[in-house]
Amino acid sequence: MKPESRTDAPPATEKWASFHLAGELFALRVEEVQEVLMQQPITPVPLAPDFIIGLVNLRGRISLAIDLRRRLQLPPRADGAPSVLLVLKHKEGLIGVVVDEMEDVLELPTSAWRTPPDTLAEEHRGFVAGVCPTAGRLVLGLRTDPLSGGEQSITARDAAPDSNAPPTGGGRVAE
Amino acid sequence: MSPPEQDAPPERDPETLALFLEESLEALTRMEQLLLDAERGTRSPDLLATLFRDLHTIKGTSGFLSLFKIVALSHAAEDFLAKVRDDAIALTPAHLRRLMEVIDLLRTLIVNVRECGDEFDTDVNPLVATLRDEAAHPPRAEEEQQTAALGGAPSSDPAATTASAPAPSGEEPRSMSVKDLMGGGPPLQHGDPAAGTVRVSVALLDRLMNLMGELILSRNRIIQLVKMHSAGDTDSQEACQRLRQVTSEMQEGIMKTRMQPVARVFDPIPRMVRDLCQATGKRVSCHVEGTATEIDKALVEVIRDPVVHMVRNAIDHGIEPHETRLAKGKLPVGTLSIRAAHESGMVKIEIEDDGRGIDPDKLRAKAVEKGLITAAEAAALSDREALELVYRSGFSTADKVTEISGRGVGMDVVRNHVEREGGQVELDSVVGKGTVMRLKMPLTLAIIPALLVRVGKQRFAIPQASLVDLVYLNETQAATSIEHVRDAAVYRWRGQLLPLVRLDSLFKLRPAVEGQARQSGLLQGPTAPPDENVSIVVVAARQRRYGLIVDEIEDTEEIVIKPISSELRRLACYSGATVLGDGSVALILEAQGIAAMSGIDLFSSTSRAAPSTKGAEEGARGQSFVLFHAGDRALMAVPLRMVSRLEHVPRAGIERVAGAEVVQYRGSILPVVRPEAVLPIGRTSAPPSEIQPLIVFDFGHRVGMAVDEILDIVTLTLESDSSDGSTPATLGKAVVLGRTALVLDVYDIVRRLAPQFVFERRKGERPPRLLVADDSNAMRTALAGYLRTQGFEVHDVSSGDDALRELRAQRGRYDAVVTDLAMEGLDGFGLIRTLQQEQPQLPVFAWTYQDDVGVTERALSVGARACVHKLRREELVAALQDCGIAGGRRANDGRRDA
Repeated sequence: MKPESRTDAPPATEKWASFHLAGELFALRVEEVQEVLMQQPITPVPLAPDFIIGLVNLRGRISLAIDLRRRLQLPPRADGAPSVLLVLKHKEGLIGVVVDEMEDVLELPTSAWRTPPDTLAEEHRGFVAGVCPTAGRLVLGLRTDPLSGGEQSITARDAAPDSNAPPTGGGRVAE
Repeated sequence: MSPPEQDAPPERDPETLALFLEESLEALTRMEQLLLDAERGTRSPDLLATLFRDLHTIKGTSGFLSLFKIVALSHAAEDFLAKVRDDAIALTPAHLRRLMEVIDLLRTLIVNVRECGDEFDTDVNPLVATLRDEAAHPPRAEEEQQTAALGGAPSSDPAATTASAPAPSGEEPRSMSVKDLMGGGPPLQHGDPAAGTVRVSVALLDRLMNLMGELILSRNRIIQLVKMHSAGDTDSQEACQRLRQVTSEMQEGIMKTRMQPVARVFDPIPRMVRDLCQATGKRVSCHVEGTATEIDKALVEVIRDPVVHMVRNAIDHGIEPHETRLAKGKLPVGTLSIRAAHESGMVKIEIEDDGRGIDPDKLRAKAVEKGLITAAEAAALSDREALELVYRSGFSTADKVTEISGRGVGMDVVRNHVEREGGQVELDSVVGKGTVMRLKMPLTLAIIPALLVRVGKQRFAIPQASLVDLVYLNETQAATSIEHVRDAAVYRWRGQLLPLVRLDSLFKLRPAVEGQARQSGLLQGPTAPPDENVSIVVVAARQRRYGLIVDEIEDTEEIVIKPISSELRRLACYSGATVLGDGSVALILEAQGIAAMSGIDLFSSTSRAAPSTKGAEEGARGQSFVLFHAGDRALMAVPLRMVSRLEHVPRAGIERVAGAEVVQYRGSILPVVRPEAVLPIGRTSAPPSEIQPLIVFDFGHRVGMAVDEILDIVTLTLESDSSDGSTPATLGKAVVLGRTALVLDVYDIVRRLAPQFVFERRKGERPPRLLVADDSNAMRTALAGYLRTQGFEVHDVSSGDDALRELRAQRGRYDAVVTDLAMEGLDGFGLIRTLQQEQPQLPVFAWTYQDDVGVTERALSVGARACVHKLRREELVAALQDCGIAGGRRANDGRRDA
């Protein structure tokens, strides 16, 4: 897909909620984000995969809380470093994702998305749907669905996410 | 609303449609049942009236919904019945069969609508034509006469359906005269049968149930907050009490709205049996009992498949063809009984046949053949254990091995399905006599009582249904009573060796200091942590019991089961999660999953529950005994479960005091008895050695038995019992290693030789009577059982209100009351306060989980004599004793120090 860098018609845009994670800027579609919560008590689940921090009570609904750094195999957060809980609407209901810090809601032109570069680490490919260059920064667009699954992650085989449907990649079982 | 237009695609209101589908299927089941009854001669007086009403309703509503084939068919059937009624002709078996066809076709149509949204191309015309035709040609007069004569005769056994293969020649066709069938009632003028009831959508009920769950969580939270912040404020306490009461009543009400009779599952069974019989040519009489037993709607669906599966198996493979039965001297008609009943908070369903039974030898052979177990393992299995083989996955995917194959088909699936929903499956079979399957299901799914335990910093919930007992050991007890068999830690409990699982190790919650060698939670090696109190939760997983070591046992709480993410469902140790009173999330533990993860074999029986009756226990095979030499090298044994310790003491330490032998032991004086003093065996001929082996027993006070040599711990079968009194102080004999060992009645020996150390009751003195009130079944039963072993007579009730009622009715009967504090309705505090006013002489003891000075003080302030933690039952006995209420009297107490 070729970028249409400057066209006269106002480009179609989408809102993405962006956040920091280990020095990188990631984003999720705003409509997939239910809310952002500060410190929440999380009950650990012994023997669960390490990216699962535990269970969190979201107004009476019990949801999984996962550590996005661990999920993406990024370096662990320093002790006491700030974090927020991003509550996402997920195929199984709500899911909590712990990230470092929220950034703005970005309005990104749908046409600006690029296929993730080949240099993207293998373990990220299943989660990163596309890369969007903005003023001075690259935003990595994430898929929500593979986040909670342990065994299956999906590789980004398709190019950039199309404008409406959430990016759903072709299935390749990672393990 | 106007009737729908013919050519427009029908717009059906989904709610009306859903109601119609449900109502019609119910009606079909009802009609089918009546027709089946009529077919076997037990006609209902309402038969015709019911058929009319139901068909009419189906016709009316289906017209409204533009389901024209259903309209046509029900209309034709109605006309057919009208003709029968108006001409006052008899319903012949042919008529009944025709009506059965109508029911079947209607059901097909309705199911089509339910599953696919339309009637599809099912053709109703041939049947409609047949009905018209038959309505126009009434049966001949002679037949009418004959049927009138036979029709009124009621069946001898109204509960029995005898379904059989097509009747052998010579059997008279039966039918009923219409007068009987009409039952006198006007057929069509029946009012709404459901006057006073309303129909509510299932979705709404589900929503109410969810809200109820939320309400319970909020209640728990509020009660906890009040406890924390305004413990002394009576107003808040009362408001909480009221909240508690209203919530639980409401919960009960909402549960009731969700209850449905098991009839929904049972009603189609006679028909199924009839069809299966026709298909197999067998003759089976089917008894169905307890169809009114109610169970949560969601669980009705859960039990349906297993029940159908078991009935099918019973007829396919259990009950023999009638020639075979005759040859075996059995009644030619097989019996299949299906029973449902409520039993201690569960619904119990039994499916029993009198067929050929399941042959354990065949199961063994097959399991070996399938490579599931080795021949040696197979040989070692008891018959009961062999029966368990049918649940092994891989066993049942069998190719056809006649006689046993079908019995196993899918049993693993059935059991897993049932267990996933909190139920149990049991199988019992006697070769040649029959098989009985027992299915136990909880009444409801979503809200269950559970015990909260703490491990590390985390709390977990253990469903009350899997709880068996709670054991609290102080350091000394822990050090002595946790033993090791090979590498695994075990605890001796009611005559069994319980494997112990440390949850902190299993869950890796213990700091790494312990080393990483522990792959599983089973305690490895002699590592029972010293200087630690140990709390053991004894749980049951299938037949198997084992102990979970936790850091602390907290309270019981009603919890609302919430599903957990699919990612976590792969962890077999959790069955869900719940929100606790403080808003935090707790995982619900699954006893079976934990057993599997810890390597406890659920199929093995090494610690299966021993029979509870004393006689059976004494005679039970596989009981462990301590084998020893005493006297003149006589071989003897004592039951291991009575033994407290095996010791070796310096012979020089044994002294004679006032004619009795004693030894200093663990800081107190241990009396020593010798079996040869009672038994007709020679004095010891063993050369005196420095060390004296002692077997230590504990009857509330320790007593040591001096023996020559402790040989082994063996499994023996008691062969004869010497209740004839020929040999004093023995329970019987057992053969071991080709020699006969005398099994001693330790109690009797000690009573004869050191009576002052055995609890004994004076002749004619009645045991003290206690009333125990606790709303937890498990707790109450455990406590009552324990108190009985301590010599009390115990009556138990499940609420404060029941306790008060009993005490008012039986004034003076009880010597003391033991009550839980937190109970629904009248709680422990209220009970104590009331009794304090009404029967101030009656001592009341509180027992609670709350290890809280505030609670203790409050209990004492309202009049409790003592307040004891639920895990320290000995303290309760001591407290009772302090008030002069002793289960056993220590005869001649003063002599102990003499």
